[in-house]
Amino acid sequence: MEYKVTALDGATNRVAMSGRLDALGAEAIELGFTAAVASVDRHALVNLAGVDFCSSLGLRLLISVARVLQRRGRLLVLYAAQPAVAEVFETIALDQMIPVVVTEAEALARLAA
Amino acid sequence: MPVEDTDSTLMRRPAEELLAAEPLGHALVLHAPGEAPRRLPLGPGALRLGRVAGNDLVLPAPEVSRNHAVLSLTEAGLVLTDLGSTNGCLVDGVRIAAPIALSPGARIGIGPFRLDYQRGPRAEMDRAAAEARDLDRARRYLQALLPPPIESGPVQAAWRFLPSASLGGDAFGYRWLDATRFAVHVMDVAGHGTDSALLAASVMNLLRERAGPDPAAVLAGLNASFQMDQQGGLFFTMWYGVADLAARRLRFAAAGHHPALLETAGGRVALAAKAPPIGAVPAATYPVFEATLPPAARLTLCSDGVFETEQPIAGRRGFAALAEWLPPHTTPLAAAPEALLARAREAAGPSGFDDDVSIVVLDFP
Repeated sequence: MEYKVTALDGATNRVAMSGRLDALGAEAIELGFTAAVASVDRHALVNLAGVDFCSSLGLRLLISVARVLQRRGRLLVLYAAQPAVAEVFETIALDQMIPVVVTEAEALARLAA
Repeated sequence: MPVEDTDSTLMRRPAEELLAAEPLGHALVLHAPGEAPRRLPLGPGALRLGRVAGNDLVLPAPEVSRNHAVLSLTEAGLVLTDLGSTNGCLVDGVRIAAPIALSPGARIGIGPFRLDYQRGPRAEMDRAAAEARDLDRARRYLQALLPPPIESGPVQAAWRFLPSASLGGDAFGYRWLDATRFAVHVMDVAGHGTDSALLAASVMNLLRERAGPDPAAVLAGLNASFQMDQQGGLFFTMWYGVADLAARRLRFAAAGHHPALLETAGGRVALAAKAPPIGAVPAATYPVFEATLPPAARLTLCSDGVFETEQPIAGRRGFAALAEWLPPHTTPLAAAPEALLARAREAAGPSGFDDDVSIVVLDFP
């Protein structure tokens, strides 16, 4: 499980995740990911194109980080999820907690909204 | 034992163990003179050991060379290479003459330092042996809360519960609310370990008292009581249904849980209800749906541990696989959970399940 943070502008990070966001993957990146994404005062656009599996612990990581950002008035937006991952998001109604869109352009549009 | 035997054993063993399918975790426990042992997880790549700064692990002692040795985590396992040091590297007391693949438990000696190599399935490495005893107690307690099977009457029930090594926070329950209404639920905490089991036990005990006839009210009540911010960051999914045997109707709602499957003479339907998990959204609402219960209806509920295995070997996985694995409707109730479990186990492959597996089957004759 890996992630790469790139600053898009002064207020927004793009976070590209790749690998299996399962129990082991989530545990392996939890501390670093939370520090890099949730501890900074920036929106996070999370590109999930490279994530082929997401378990409940993966969801928990995304939800926790999104909640921290929301409290600070920042948004976490997920985009480009693969079909299997999108199915998991659908089951737990993730879109009621975190914006879930298809493209980066849509993700940027959510920030402007 | 002759030295040659020891060497060949050390070289052979890792290759055999690489056949194990599960991902492995690697760690070193560093014993430095006069210091408490320190555990160092190992990632892929090389770890340079030596006396001077610039090494990945600095071992400050005169007997250690400036650039003493390197440990490389490769596909062959963890390999120790001496970089031409003055005093050499010992593995289990024997000075190495060439790069060597280390067996789990190997003890590396470099000057006054000792490094113990640990390897195992990554998840298990992280949960120490001491924790296993506590988990076992938690598992026994949870199992004691599960309802007994029901062999006869207007609702019959059978189940299988297979806790994972680390306890995945699955639980389920069912009970009569009054003379005609029967409530059932399955839950799955998003986490592993004692904390997840404690949360599952709290919810089960609460539902023994508070299980009500309105699925929306029950889930909203739980959501108000178990917000993740106050639960150590834990949330859980649940499917909750109430069968009215007089009206032959089933009312249900779900919080982040995949659908239950209802089989009747007319076929099979997925009883889906979309809403967030309990604890994830403070003001969440839970829409309620209804299904009719014709004679000989069978309801199957489970946790996602049944179909979400990390390394499936055969066929499909995900919720779509579940319907394919259901045993024929005519399978006797008592054998149905085991039959479904057998199919799921086959698909999970040699590494087995990595989460709790719960299967509850109810018959409404």
